[in-house]
Amino acid sequence: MNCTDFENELIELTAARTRGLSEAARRHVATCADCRRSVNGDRALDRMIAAWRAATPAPTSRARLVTALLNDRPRAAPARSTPQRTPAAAWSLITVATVLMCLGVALWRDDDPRPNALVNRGPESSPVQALPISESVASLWDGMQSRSQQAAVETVRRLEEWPQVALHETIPAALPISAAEAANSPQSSAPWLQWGEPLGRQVGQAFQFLGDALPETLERPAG
Amino acid sequence: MNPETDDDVGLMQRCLAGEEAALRAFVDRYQGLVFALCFRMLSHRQDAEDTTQETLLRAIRHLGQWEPARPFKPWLLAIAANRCRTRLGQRSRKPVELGDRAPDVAAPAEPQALSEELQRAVGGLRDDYRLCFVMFYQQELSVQEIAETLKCPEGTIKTWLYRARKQIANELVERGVVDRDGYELHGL
Repeated sequence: MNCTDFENELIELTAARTRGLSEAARRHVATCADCRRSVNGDRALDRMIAAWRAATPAPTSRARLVTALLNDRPRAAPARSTPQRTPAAAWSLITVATVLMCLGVALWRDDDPRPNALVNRGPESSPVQALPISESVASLWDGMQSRSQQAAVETVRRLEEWPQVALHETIPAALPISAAEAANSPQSSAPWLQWGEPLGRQVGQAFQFLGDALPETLERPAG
Repeated sequence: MNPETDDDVGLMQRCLAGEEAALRAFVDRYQGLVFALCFRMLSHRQDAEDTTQETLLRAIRHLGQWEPARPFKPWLLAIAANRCRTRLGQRSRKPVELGDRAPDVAAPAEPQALSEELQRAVGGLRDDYRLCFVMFYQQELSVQEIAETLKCPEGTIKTWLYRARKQIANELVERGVVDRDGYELHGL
């Protein structure tokens, strides 16, 4: 037996709460001073542990502890006067409350006599008339659609008003081209040619400008 | 199932029902056990009292999570161990107060002083070594029970236990409580 084997035996003996060394271990102890020291130290430690265990003080706060447990009893008892709320139940409550609040706001807005672009669709809708929820949602959708349409019309109108003088003056290549020139140009297959005046022409100019602005290497790859 | 476990099951059912007598019996049965662990882990009486209370309150609150087929003591001691770790973590973040530790005794002459000397050495162990040592020697749990309580392999527990003993023995030699040959200088 070597020192490692002896140490392994001590580990097992400690875990089993015994001190009976095997014959091989005893022979090893007789010849190894370090392991003999370990065995003696273990025996001394065992005696000290016994004294240490006996010297453990007793708790003094029994009354305080019992009072704390009794006061805490309603939370521990299964028969509770008020049911315990789980997180799922709390979220359900919050969801229901939110939906009810939204409904309330929607109905309130329907009742509101003030002008409302989304709800009051026209002269046929009475400001004091309470609409059902389905009709309120329909009004909301109509309003959003009409607004989108208005926004698109407004954008096109502003495009029409864009100043084109600067482009004509500084970039000769961007000058308006005739339909015949356009047909002979590399962009003759461009879809905007069918868009008509002035949109097709303006888009064509923009692409022409961009094509001229691109570096030569990008336009005509080597090879 | 052994009689102790059966007894625990009955007592815990009564505690769950909020029966006052059962709660008193629960305190009588387990307060000393938990306090001993907390005191040996924390080396501070008031901290141990507070942690014992926290442990028992927590145990009663979460009694529904205990599986009656398993022994109650390791389950309770696992809660106590966690509370002690939390307390030690809080303590490590606070400055050390004078008076929290016993005075430095160079050459103890009485069994009580030797016990304090050993407690000081135990207090110097790593948390997991100390927990293992206290559970094995103070609570007399088996290696298997400690492994289940701390959720570690049995081999790890055996190693921790052996290393804890070795570290304590070395410290006792350094302090002059035990001589280099392993014989105590101040007999019990």
